[in-house]
Amino acid sequence: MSSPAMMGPKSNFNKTCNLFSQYLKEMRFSGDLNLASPDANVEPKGAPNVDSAMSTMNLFPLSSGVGFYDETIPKSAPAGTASPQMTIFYNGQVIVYNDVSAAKVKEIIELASKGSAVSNAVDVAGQPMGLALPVVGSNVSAPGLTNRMKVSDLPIVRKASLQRFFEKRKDRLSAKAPYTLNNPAADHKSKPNPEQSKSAASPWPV
Amino acid sequence: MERESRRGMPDVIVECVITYVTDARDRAAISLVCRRWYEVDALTRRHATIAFCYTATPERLLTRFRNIEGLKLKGKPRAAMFNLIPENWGGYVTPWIGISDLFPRLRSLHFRRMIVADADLAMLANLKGRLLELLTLEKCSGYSTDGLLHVGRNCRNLRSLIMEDCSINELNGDWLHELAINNTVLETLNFYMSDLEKINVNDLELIARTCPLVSLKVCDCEIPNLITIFQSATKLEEFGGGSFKEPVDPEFYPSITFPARLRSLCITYLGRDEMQLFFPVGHLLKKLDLVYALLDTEDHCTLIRKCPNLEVLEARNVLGDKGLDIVSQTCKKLKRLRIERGADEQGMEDIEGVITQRGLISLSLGCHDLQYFAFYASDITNEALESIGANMKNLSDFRLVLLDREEKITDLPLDKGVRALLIGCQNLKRFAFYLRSGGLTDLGLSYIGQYSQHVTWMLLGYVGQSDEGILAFSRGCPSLEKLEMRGCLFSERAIAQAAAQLKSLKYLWVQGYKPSPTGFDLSPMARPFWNIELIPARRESLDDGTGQITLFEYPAHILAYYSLVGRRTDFPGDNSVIPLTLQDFWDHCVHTSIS
Repeated sequence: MSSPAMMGPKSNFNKTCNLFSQYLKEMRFSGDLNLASPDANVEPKGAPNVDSAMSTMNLFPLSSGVGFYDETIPKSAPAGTASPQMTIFYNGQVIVYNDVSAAKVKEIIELASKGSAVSNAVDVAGQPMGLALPVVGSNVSAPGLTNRMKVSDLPIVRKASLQRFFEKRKDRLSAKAPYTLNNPAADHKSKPNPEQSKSAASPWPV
Repeated sequence: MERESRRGMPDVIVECVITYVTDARDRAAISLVCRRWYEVDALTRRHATIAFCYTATPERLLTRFRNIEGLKLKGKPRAAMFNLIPENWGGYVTPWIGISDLFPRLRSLHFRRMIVADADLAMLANLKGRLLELLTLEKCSGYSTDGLLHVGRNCRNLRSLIMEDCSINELNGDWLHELAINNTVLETLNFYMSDLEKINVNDLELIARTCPLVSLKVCDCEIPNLITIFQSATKLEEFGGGSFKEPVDPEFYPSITFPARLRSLCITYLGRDEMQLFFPVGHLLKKLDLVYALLDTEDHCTLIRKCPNLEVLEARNVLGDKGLDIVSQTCKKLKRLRIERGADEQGMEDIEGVITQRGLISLSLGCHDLQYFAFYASDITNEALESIGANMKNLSDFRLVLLDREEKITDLPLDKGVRALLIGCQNLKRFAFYLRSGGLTDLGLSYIGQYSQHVTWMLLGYVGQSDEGILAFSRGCPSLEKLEMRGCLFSERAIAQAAAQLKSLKYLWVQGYKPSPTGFDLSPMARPFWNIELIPARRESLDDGTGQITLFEYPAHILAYYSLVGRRTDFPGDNSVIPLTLQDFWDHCVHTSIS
């Protein structure tokens, strides 16, 4: 139970990073790529312990995702940020991107979540790996961002049956009147409905 | 080996008398008296409920209760209903179905939150065939309509088929056709909320004509079909379904003939226009489910005013305080009230649709017979809880969830209120208290421990302030068998100590706690027969109700339970569930003491 190497998630992450660089090139992104010290706004309180926390995590997979819950990661980004930054923490390294728009971030998150949806890899010694992929922090005020869940802030979850009903109800409403003012944005989980219009992404306090 | 000179009752009398005792707890007590009574109980037990399927195996069940007629099994933790448990977590029906033919009298099967495959249904149809009379699949997943074909074809004596809120792969509607042409004894047909829409309504109408239907709950049903079904199913007492895609002009349907015994209605997408169609039977209704209706607060009031004999009402919180006033005035016989959480998006629900202390107090003053009360409140006070404790003396199941939309709650913490409620409601067996940070102090949590003498199930969310709270709590709750906790800031060690202290605890589920780096702070609760499983942190995309998708990383879960049969062997292969055994703790102790 003492194998510190994290090879599985790393290769996933590398893959995702490669895709990400490609994506940025395609978007003709011209921001800075900095290896900077952790941004003060989003750094977890226990940042100096991140490495040791990670290696401790690797001793026992169930502690993955553990140890981050006391941090005060801002739930919503400061409003009106001039050049929105995105910061990625991984394994002691930090990468900061400037001028990342909300829509781009949303796409990146979806991309990353597809990459990490692959089931946990196993390291050389055959020890099961926990979900140790880091969370992408951001101080962009936009929806669709990954949040590390503070224990004290678990959202009250909905019953799955009710969730389905609300999605269906939305579909019905938009089918009947696709252009009403109150028509909410398309729910990504449900099948894409061509009649639904996407409303402007409004900041949702997370 | 018979002993002749007995001062007690002859065996034949014990066997006669015991058949009149049906309550499982009473039977359990009887079986402990002496060996002979144990044997008599074992041979005459007619029903078994295994509340968590991994506590025993089919073989053990067969050895103990061979002659059962009905079996009910539950699989995944309750949290699965809220998408918190990985789909492949476990809870497979296969081993139970595989052995079903060895139970000679078994004719009723009920699976809840379990994984069912088409092959399982085929096997069941093959092994039990005409012997199967009742099949209930509730919140199950993993099968398709092809699996149901076997049931429709071979289980011709099926009197009840319930598949409510299941996740079914719908290929076509042939299964219903098979059922329609092969079965003439069906009394209950329910595929409500299972998204089975490819059915042919003619099959439904055939069943309504040829079977003595008492309860019918379907997915979609337009008014013309509803009329036909109501005309044919003359014995119908319960109906669920609806769709109403076309606008309804009540003038066009002046009088639907309702079955004479209709007492329970559950109309999906019921709107204001359609609502009027049901006014004539309002006074007959004992059960009304408006959770999936499209009514605003005023509509709810209008409709409920017509239903003075309601015993069961379910609605979303669009019912509002106003609705609760009407319920309090009108539904004096109400026994069960469930108020679900509505949508959060703007414009999707009536702004009046909130439940607060005002409505709760009003309700408590009118509905004294309430036994089950579950609701999502936007605001609450101690006074409201005190009023409930003072007036709803018959409550056996109370569940409060405090919604998180409002920043400020009128009156927190709820220490005094919960104490009054628990002291007042002496019959309480099931209790859920889901608050927010600051909702209940450690003292308040100790009150729950102190005053819940008979509570067997509890869900606690965001209660307490520190480990002291949970430790004080666990010194009480003498009857607590099943505990679920979410979002409480207790350390792993305190949780384990609490679990070890709760005398009757058989099952524990926790999400959100202060973990240790290694997980071995759970060692205070490590003991024989106690299985511990961990679901590590994972990611979920969450629709926060406005259509915006946010990705959250959920913290880990602890699941622990007593089992007679050791660790289960069907963990998912992707390490989304990790078992911890006594041996693991031992190894860790050895490892840390050496290093």
